[in-house]
Amino acid sequence: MPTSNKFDDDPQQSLFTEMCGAGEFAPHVHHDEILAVKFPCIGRGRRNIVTCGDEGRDEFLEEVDGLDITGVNIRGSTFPLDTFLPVVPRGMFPHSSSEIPSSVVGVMLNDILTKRVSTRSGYYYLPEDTRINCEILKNPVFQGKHVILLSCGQDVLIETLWWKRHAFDLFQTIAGMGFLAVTGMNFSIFSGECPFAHALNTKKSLRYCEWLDQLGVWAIPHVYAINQPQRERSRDWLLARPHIKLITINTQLQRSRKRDVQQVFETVEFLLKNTEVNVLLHGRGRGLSSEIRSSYRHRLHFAASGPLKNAIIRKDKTPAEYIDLFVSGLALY
Amino acid sequence: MGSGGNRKSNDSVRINLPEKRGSGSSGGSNSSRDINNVCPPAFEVIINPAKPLPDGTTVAVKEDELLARGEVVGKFSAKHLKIINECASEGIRYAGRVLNKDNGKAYAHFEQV
Repeated sequence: MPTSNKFDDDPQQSLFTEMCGAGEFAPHVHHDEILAVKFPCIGRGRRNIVTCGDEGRDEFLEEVDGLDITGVNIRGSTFPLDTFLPVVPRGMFPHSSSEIPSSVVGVMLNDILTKRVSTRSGYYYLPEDTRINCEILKNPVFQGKHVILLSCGQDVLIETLWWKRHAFDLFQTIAGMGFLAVTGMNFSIFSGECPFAHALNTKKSLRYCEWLDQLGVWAIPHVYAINQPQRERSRDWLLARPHIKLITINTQLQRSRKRDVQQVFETVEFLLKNTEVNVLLHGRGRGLSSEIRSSYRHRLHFAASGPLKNAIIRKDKTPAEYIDLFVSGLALY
Repeated sequence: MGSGGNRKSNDSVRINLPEKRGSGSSGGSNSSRDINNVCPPAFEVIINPAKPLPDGTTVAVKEDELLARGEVVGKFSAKHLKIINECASEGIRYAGRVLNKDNGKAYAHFEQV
């Protein structure tokens, strides 16, 4: 049994490594990634991911034209962004846009739907009859603002919209809504799971961007990389596309585990040091080293809905005051 | 959602096979069934045990009857039977257990296994 080349957070190679067939997808999957597999790739029932052992694997590959990301082309664009991008929660849509002192704001994918993700019997579900509300940017809060659509959310939301993209006419609809930019979908990438699934989800997210790009939308690639081979693939892809000036990384789920936080910030640091892209961190910013924050402050942007949610729930400060509080907090930690 | 080490346990979705018709930004309608609507991750049925049963008590199914500790505590509706039967044919099975909720009612909570 090989004992070298394991990732530092994997104290012992799992038996499932031996059963993972993702090796045939090299170079899109690195051998070290297979050593980190901790869950079976067979008999997973396609729950949340498609593994190398899935009987429908080839259909999923065909859907995105294989795992190779070198053929995915996105034009990219630029726009001056402040350090902080306030994300407008649904509850604030009727408010006046003058309450938010930012010319660029974000909105979540879930909040452009007529019916949002809810829970039933303890699980998230997306109502079957939900639709994209094409009129969303006509709400008062968005008047005079540039709006970035953040295509992040639960797996239930992301995977369902992806699957229903034809029925929803998803790309044409989003392209016609007037967003300044749209970020890539955050298809999940969890450590210990099949690296074929990681590579497939990376490709899906980039194809989402590419198909929007082809319709004239500024698509901001979303990057998840939880190990060094994945970071290097992202770096290489970005270095070959110097016209892409901004990527986004979702950090909303990295709250509870120190290792998860560390993992995501290692990716941020790696990409800041090895490429020239700006990074829009969506969610948590706390945990990024002060050295990185100061060295790359002009290339780091933060998106969060917390300040505006606090303003409408607590009502003790204005949205502007909560934003100021958040931004001054960014300088402290 | 996300990346890292732990998935959210309540964010469970079965990935549907891709549509055959084209891909990318081209249009078209989607007539296929979403397996997550046919076979939800969980569903619940109200039960009426003679005496309160503790949370987690196994609920067995015999035809359309729900049994806990040998007692018939409830019945599947036609809708629930349809879920059980259709999903079994897809290779998806459910296990039931008692769940007492704050509203004072007891439920048989069925989850995919």
